[in-house]
Amino acid sequence: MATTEDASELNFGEDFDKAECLSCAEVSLLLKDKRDQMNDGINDVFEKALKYVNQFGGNQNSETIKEIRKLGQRQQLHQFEIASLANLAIGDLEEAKTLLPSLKRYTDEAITDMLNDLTNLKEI
Amino acid sequence: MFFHVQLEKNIRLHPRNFGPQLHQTLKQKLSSEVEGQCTGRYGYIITVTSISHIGQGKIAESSGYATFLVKYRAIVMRTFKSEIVDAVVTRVTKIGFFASVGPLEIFISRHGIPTDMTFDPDSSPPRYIAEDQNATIAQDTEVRLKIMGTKIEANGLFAIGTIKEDYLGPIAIEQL
Repeated sequence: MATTEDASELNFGEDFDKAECLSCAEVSLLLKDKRDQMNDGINDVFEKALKYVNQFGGNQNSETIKEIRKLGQRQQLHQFEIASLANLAIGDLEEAKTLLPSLKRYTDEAITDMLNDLTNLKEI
Repeated sequence: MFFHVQLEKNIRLHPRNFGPQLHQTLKQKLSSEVEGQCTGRYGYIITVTSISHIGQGKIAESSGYATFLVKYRAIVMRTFKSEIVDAVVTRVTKIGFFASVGPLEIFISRHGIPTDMTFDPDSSPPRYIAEDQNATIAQDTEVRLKIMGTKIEANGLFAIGTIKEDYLGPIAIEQL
């Protein structure tokens, strides 16, 4: 495994460089769909993942998810940043810059706007 | 982080499966062979979401089995260094505590816990408690942590984390 991989620098190595990141809410939707089609053979890993994404993303509906994605694309955020912002309830500017250092390439105003937009979207 | 990735796998089929149900059989075999697996490269394979391509089968002349290269999309989960994740505490001990992100276990050692939090073995369940009594960490507490590193073990991935930095630690209810 390459040692240069570092989420704070948006470096995910060759295999995950172009991979699509999914927020907990997105995974929750996909897994619930999948579970309804499966009759048997639900394994332990699937169960644990479903429980986790429901706990941390189960409250966002498909409309909210879509809007968060659109917002991310408009701001040209990295996939990883979009999913992280969707997953983590982030209160203010300093918190955002500390937890997701890659956001520092944006101005403070731009980050604050994004956080406000996200808060509004999540409340709907 | 969860990812949607394109993967491929060689699936071997017994000649009795050759017939109109071949694709269905391949799909089932793929699911049972890869779902729930964990590799160092891609992490946990949670589920197959779609099959994008099934290659032409090649018959092995000695066994008669056919091998098909199946390309598929799957949801996988693995963590990266410096990633911030919310996790659920599973076990608290005096040398640190364990938390899980779905199938992945993360260990936060005493060195990764703020020094003002002390281990309280007498409470039930055992917990870490802050000097000012404002924060506790016990089983089922939701904590926000930072991944320091991940290692591959025989039965899966295992990560090391810390909560000894700003904005990390137990998640307050009002933040949710």
